[in-house]
Amino acid sequence: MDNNKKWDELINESFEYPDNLSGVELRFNKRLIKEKRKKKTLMSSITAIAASIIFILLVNINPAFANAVAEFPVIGKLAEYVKFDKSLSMAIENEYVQEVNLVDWDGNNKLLLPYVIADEKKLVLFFQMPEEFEQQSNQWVNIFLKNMKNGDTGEKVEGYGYSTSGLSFEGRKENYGFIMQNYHFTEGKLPKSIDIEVEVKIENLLSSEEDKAVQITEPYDFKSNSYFETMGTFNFHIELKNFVEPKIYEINEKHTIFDQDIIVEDMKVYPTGTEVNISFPVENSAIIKGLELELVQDDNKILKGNGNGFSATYNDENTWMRVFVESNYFDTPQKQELFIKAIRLLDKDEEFITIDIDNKTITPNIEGMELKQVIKKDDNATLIFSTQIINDDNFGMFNHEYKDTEGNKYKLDGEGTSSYDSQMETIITVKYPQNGKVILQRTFTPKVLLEEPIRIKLP
Amino acid sequence: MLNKKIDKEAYITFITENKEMLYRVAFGYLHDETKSLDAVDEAVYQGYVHRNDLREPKFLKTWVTRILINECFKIIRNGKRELNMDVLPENQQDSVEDSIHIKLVINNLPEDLRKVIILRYFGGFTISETAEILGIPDGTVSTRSRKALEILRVEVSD
Repeated sequence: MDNNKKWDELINESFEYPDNLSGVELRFNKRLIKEKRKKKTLMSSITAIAASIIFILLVNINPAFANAVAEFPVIGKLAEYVKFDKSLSMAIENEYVQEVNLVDWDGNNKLLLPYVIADEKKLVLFFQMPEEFEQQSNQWVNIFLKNMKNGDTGEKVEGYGYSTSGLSFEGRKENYGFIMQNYHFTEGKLPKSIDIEVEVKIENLLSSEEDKAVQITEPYDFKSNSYFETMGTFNFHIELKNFVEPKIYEINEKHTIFDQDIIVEDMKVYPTGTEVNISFPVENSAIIKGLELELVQDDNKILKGNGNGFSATYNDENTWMRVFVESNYFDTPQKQELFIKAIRLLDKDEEFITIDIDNKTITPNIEGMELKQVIKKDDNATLIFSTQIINDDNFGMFNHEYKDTEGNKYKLDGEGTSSYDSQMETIITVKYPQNGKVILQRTFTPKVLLEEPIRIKLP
Repeated sequence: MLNKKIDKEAYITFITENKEMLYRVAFGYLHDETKSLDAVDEAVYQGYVHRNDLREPKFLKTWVTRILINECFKIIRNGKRELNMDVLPENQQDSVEDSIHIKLVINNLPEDLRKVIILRYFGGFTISETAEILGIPDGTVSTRSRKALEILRVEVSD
C-alpha cells in the first residue's frame, strides 16, 4: 500500500467519530458541578475556622464564662471545646451537663463517652478518642450511630435526626479528642434511659495526586476522594438525669406573604435551644417550601440562614415548620425578633409537571424555568433544565421518584445542579418513555426576596 | 474596548459546533479513540476554566485548539513512558522505506512540521488559520507543510 493511500485512510479514520463524542457537553457540565462542590467543601471548612476564631475572642471578653471555666477544671476542656455553641456553653456554665464517664472496649480499641447534655429536644453526646489512639495525618475519625434503643423497654427510639463532628489529625489536640454528636428530637421523645451502639470509622483522605489518578482513569464519575475503614463497634448504656421543664410562650400571630398565611404558634425554650413553631394553613394555594430567617437579639443580628446553631425542620406535608435557634434558657435577652427575609413557594397546581422530551415542553408552563437541552443515548434521556434564580441560590428541584403517563414509577439516579449569577442548571437522566413524556414532582423552588421583611416579635 | 465575557451557554454552543474538529486534531496526534476523547474533554474544561485569560472572544477557536494541542502533548509524554521505545523507528526515512505504519512516521516528525500538517489536514484549517493558531507567517505554514508531506512521501493537492 503506498503512503498516499495510508494517509487518506488515516484522515478518513479521524472523521469516524465515536459515540462518546456526543457526550462532551454533558461531561463538561458534570465536571463543572463536581469542581464547584469541591470548592464548596473547602469554603465551609474555612468558615468553620473563621467561626472558631470569633468565638475565642468572645470567651476572652466574657468574664462570667471565663470564670466559670476556671472553677471547673475537669470540665474545662469540654467548655473549651463547645465554646462556639452558645447554648451548650451556657448549659455547661450553669452546670446543666451530666458527667457519665463511660468507656467501652471492643477487644482491640477503646472509646470514651465522658459527658452528655440532654433535654426533651436534644441529646448531645461528647465522645472522646483515647490518648493512645494513633492517628495518621490524612485520617479523620467519624462516629456513626448504628442503633438507639430505649434502655427500659428495648424498643427502637425514633423521631430524631443527628449530626456529628469529625476529628482531624490537626484538630485533635485543639479539640481534646472530642467528637460531638447532636441528636435532635423533632418528632419523637428522648427516653430517660437509652442503649446506643456506634461504629467508629476512620476516613483516609487520598492525597491530591492519588485523587488525580482516580480521576484520570474514570473521569466522568463523581468519585469520592477518600475511603473508610471500620475501627470498631461500641456500646453504651446511658441513664439520663431528669430533664428541666421548657419555658413555653404562646404567640398565635398570623402573617401573610404573597397571599399565603403563616401562623407563628408558640415558642419553647429548652437548655439546648429555643424552638419556634410555625404552621401553614391547608387553605393556602401554595406550599411553603422554605423561609429564610434571621434572628435579632437586643438589636444585634446574631443568626441567619440555615447555618451554625440555626436549623429548621418541616413535616412531610409541609403544614408546619419548626425553627430551632440558640437557647435563652439561662440568659434571657431583653428583646428578640425573628425576621422572614425570603420565601420559597410552590403553587399547589404546579407541583407535578409533564415533560414532553421530544418537543422540550413543560406542562403547565413554569415561569422562569425551561428545558434547555435533551441528550438521548440508548434508552436514556438526559434533561438539562435552566431556572432563573437570585444570586447563587442552589437547590434540588425534583423528587427522586417520577412517573410515566401510565402511572409506572421510576427513580432518578441523581440530580446535578450548578448555578452562577442568576441561572441554575439542573441535570437529570430518565428512562426514555414510549410516548416521550414523563411526570416529575417538584420539590424546591427559587427563593423570592421580600421587599419588606416580616418581623415577628418573640417574647 | 470592553471584553465581552464568554458565558457558559455560548461556550457550550461553541463546543457543539467545534467538537468534531477538535476530535480530528486530537486523533491526528494520538491515533486512538479513547485518548482523543480524553484530550478533547480536558481541553474543553480547561478552556472554560481559563476563559477569562482570553483577551478577545473571537479567538476562542484558535485558543481552545492550542490548549488541545498541549493536552495531546501531555498524553503523548505520559504514554511514552509506558511504551517500549524499541518499537519506534530509529530513522524516519528508513521507516517509510520499510513501509512501517504511517502513524509512526507522523509521530516522529519534528514538532514544527507535525503541528502544521495536523491542523491543516486533520483539523481542516486554512493556511492563514493555521498561521494564526501557531503564531507564524503564512509562508512558513506553506513551507513546513510541503516539507512534512515530503518526509511522509505523500502528495496532497491543496
